[in-house]
Amino acid sequence: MPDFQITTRGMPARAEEWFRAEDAPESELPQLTEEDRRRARLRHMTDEQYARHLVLKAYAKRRELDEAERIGGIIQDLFGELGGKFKLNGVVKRGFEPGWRVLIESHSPGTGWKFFDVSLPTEDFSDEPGKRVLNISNPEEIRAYLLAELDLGESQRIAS
Amino acid sequence: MLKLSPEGKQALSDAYDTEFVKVFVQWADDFGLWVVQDRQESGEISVLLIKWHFFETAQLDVIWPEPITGKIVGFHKQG
Repeated sequence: MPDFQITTRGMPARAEEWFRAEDAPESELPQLTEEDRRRARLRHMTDEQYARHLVLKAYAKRRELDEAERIGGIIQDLFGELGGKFKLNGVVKRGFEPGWRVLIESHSPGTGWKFFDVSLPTEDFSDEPGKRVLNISNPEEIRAYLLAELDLGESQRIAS
Repeated sequence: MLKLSPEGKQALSDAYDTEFVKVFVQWADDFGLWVVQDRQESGEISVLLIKWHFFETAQLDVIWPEPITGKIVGFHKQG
């Protein structure tokens, strides 16, 4: 169990997750509650369509959780090497924002606590050419980006 | 979930036989919504264009930004 907060969103899902959910055997679909059935009717979905919708969100959330744990692991390894000055508080999704936010606190003697909210652009919905997207499978890329952001963070912090 | 317009229902009758259709939107542009239709063995995905005027309503799930638990971003003064 990670010792930092993880917030997943379960959306947007990916096309391969959509196909997996659509192809899932009926035996793997969740049993719907009365509330689920009400929600299905509200969406003009059949019970089966809604069950597959829930499966799709579960797949997407599982992937997000894996990503968050992987990112958190990379960051905690980095902070371990930095001698405990920084602590990872959370890896979270925020609204419809692409990528992740990492919540960090640092404490140095004489300077008090500082809190950082760093955006990690691990995906991009804008299709803008040349936009930087970090590769989660490349720990060095995440580490280098974060180190640069923490240096910049001094001028971007928000006073409480 | 889209509710097709009468024109959309007619134009898309080969793909959908109901007024309400569950779709996975791959992207959207000036033409309309490009929705996932089929996957080939090679891994290629075929998409179908649903022009904007081919549907009347769309229903989707939205998550509001969640409050961050724990400490907020900023400074704390020392004792």
